[in-house]
Amino acid sequence: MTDNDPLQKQSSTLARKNKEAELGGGLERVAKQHREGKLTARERIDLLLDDKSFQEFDKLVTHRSHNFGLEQQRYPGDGVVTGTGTINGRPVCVFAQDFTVFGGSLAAMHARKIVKIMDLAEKLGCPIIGLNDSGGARIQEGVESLGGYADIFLRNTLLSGVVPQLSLIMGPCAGGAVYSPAITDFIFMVRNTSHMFITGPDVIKAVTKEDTSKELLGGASTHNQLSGVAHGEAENDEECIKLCREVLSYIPQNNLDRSPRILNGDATDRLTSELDSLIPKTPNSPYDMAAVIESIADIGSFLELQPTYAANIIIGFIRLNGESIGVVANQPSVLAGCLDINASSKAARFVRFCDAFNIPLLTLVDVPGFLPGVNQEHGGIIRHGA
Amino acid sequence: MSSKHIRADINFAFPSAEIAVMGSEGAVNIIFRKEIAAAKSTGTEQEVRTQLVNDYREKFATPWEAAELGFIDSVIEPSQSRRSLIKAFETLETKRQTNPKKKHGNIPL
Repeated sequence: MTDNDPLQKQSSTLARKNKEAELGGGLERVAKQHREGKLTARERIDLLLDDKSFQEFDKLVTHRSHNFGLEQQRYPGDGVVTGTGTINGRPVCVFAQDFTVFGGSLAAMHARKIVKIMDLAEKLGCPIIGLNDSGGARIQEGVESLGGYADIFLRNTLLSGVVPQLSLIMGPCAGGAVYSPAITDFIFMVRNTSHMFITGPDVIKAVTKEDTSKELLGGASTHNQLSGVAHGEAENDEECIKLCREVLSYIPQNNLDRSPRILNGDATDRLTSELDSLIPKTPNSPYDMAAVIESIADIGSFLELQPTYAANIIIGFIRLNGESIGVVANQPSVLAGCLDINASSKAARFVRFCDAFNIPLLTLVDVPGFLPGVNQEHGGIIRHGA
Repeated sequence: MSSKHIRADINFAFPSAEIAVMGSEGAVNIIFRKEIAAAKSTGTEQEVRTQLVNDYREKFATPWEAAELGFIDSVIEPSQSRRSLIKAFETLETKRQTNPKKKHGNIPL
């Protein structure tokens, strides 16, 4: 073989292009990503999926734009890594935005890649998982970027209740970008590195004169404790990905499938005698409903969602004899377990999720009623509580 | 929450459950308004109120009324929770239920 051998030339071209795509925005930007405590899109996908199960799509896709000198900068992949793989042996579709390429910004081809993988998730009937880390719309591509968002939103709504949709927020997610995750079934955020808001602190300052920071406005704790936008938070990328894998183990692949059965040897006829003493004899004394759930569930199988939002109601998954069950339970130790606006909408959305995917529900009831108050009535408890 | 009337499939209650419209104190205030007012004038309000609340609690703030009506399928000891629930979900394994055909509903978002 010589250097001019066409076959060798072709394969070295492929190797070069692949390598280029895998580099993302280059070593310097990757180092910066790491310095901020964030993993790269590819590292995240590697952690999320079973070993060696990732099959990438559209690795060589580049943008088509000639605006504002963009034609001088083309990165294979266009700022998002997409593909299929397995989690605990079950197929999933995944996309991970690459902040090192154009700040993970969304433009026409970037969006087209996400759309392709979402359409595949529908065809295969498997969950779609989005790892979000994007500065927003790529403004150089103008209205094409906006169109790209809309194409994604449409699929979010069409796939809702058909396949589970999970969003992991692992960097900025602002403006129009928040709506796709917002429509998905679950949002998990990473502390300190992830933010979600419609308008950032600067715009807010200009419009309402309010002073705020990205973290206060839309950080992980804000959305997990105050707004209820997110369903869980994690210390870092690794923990967030672990949480996502865990949640998936309780839910089916699609609306026609059933959740996997995972037995852990806990006897079905185990007596829950601790409940005799756990629930106080006097009706007004509080107790921890989480302990009741732990007692009933297969040992160690309770996974709580939105634990720090509207803590007067508990939602989450357990297993009973290996079968996945959604739990909704009043929490007497918070606000005496009263139902208020936030608790109502938290529980209602979870019940709707379980219903859509045929996950049986266990409701543990110990509720004095609705929380009385002017704020509650003016806030519309009638429509939220309905 | 999750009563039979809104299509819960199987309803259990502990013997300690209070299934009522409202708490005993509130109910007594309404039902026995006159008696309590009368007791107030004779200075025996506290005793009368306590007696009424206890009576009400014994009679109504229990699972028995609901169990007699079939609103509760079974009253169980707390220690039987896990085995009863596992059995119930096994029974419901083949549940089928359909709703009327419609484009979509319009309950509040």
